[in-house]
Amino acid sequence: MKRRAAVKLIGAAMILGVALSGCSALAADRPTVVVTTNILGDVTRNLVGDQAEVIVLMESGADPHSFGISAQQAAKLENADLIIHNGAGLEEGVLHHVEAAAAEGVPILAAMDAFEPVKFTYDDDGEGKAADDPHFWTDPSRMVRAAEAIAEGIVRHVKGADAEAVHLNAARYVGEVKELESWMEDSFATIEPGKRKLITNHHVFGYLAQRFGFDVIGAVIPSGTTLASPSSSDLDELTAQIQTAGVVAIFADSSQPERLAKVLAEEAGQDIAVVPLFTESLGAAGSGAETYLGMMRSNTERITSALS
Amino acid sequence: MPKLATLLLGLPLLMTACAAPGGAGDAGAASPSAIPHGYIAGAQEQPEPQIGLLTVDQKSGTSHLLSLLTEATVDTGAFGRVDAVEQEGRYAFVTAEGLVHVLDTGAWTVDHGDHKHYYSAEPGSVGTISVPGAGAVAGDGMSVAVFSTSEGYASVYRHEDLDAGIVAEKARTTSTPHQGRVIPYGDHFIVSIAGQDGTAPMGIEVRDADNQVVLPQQSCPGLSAHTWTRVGVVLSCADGALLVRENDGAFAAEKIPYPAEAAGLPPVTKLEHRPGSNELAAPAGEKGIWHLNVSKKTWTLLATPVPVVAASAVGDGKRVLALGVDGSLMSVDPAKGTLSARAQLLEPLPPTRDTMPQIRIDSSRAYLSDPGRSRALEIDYKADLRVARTFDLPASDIMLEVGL
Repeated sequence: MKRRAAVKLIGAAMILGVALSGCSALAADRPTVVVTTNILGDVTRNLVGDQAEVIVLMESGADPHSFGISAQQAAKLENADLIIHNGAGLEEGVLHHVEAAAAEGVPILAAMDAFEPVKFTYDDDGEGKAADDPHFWTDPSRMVRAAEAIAEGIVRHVKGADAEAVHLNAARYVGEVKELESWMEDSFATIEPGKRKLITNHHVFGYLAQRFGFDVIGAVIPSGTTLASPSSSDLDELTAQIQTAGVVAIFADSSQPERLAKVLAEEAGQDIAVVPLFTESLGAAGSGAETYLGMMRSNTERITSALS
Repeated sequence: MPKLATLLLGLPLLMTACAAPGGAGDAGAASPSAIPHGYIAGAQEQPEPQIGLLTVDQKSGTSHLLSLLTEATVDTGAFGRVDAVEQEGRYAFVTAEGLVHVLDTGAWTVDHGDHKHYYSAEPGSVGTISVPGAGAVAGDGMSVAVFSTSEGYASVYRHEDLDAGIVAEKARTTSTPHQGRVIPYGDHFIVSIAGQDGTAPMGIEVRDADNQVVLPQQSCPGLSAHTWTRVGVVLSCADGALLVRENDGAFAAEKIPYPAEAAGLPPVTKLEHRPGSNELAAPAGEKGIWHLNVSKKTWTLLATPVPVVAASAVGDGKRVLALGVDGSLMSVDPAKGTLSARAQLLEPLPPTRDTMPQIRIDSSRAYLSDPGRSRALEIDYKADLRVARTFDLPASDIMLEVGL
């Protein structure tokens, strides 16, 4: 719904981009690449190396209380040599900045243009609609394609970046992502095929499921108000999903994971692990998920250990 | 929530952000217009809806917010004698003694289609809106319009400004003085049109942001209320419901007339439901409950053992909740027309009472206010109307569920 509206309004945003030309005061000394998400920021830093400054709009561990794009950041966007964003409407809040910069002539690269997206369906008025799923990073093979496209974009658009150095960085990093991919494959292979099921309230694992042969079973996790005074009927749907799937773990964001596990044990007689995963953002320093590779390894280890 | 044109609204702020001297890391100076996926400045993203009950003492206007997660209560101010409270996403608009107070409930949900984001912030007053003869307050999650019954215009405010702590009129939509309303719908407005007597509305038209009529007058005599569904906005008219919806930029209206059983019954005033569902309900005179399935465009009259004073649809095709004059809560199956559960929860309710109980519903629980005993009951409607929790409150004359 919002996403569709966003696409329709890009034209209007581009027209208004003209009004922004007054803020080009900050010319960077080094070439700059501006990246929207911290996941793509980490990938881009690996590709760019020391050939340009990489500015990530959403840094990992950014405190939402204080987060916002400053005037300086908005100006840096306008003066970037290249802007890299996810695509498929993921970054709704910055899309108009990106399009405004495009209207000013800044080259724009959408990571999702590098491969065929997975579709998801949604239903806001009784008529099912399909849209591109933006959460491609859960599939490392697509991240390889994105990284290659980003490296090419840097070589083409970032003046002063040494093409040979970027290509060397790209070869090394793409190698590491491919290594990750085969390591994930080996790890998931230790899970019985019949148990490769993710009961989850996350919406980001469609690509991972497609690449590694998992079923994603969308679950509604009982809310805090339900857990305050639950009855067995509150858990019927979830316990039925767990029983049908024959697994002993759910992968869920819950404000009270211990309470949820306790209630599941009490009401349904099931000992179920409630396992959190990294989803839309890198983890904070020390989490083991502060890089794309680390995030993917953490999730893989957690899934494998919960389902094996 | 309706389909919303969100992006364009952010652009004016982008320009001001360029002109502002805001420093990096300074939350107060940072522009709220450019925010990566899911992030909102000044707000904390949460793993689940931050639901709560906003309760108001009608006479004194003292208000409180009860967190349904922590059960903590905070004082959210006093407004004097309250005429009406309209909830509009993050904000509640309290009309009292000639002013409309804008209250930040500090809890809200943003629907991204395939997933939702949940937020919390410090609740508190944002400011007041002064519109002569302030009447209906209506919003679409992005804008809110306050109608002046005496001057015949609506002042329009943007959520985006309110999010920044600013109460500033951004547009004005003009009709004629009457008991009317203007309902923002994306970048359009549904505008009521006065009838011959100049008091009650007789219909509506839809106008674009430049005040040009894009859908000419549609009949809706006695327009008394409106309710948002996922299909569109449903207006309560004397002769039925008028469904107004936008599809790819084109507006259309369709009357869903009352069926024959409506003869002799008063028209519904406000249709109630679990926010986001496409089923609505309202008391049907002394006979029972009206159920309106907006997707199928059908009214069903559901008979109840006793007349009801409040009704609301769960929207799961299986349950409409209604409070009888005897104080019993009933769950009625709208498909079968049968009573599936009944629980005696409140004292009998004489029709002369000032304040009547209200029913609020979310996807797991319902909340029933009990103004007579200043409390609210949390109802597990899937488990035979079991009372899950009871909350004693300073007052519960008016009760809204926030954070959805």
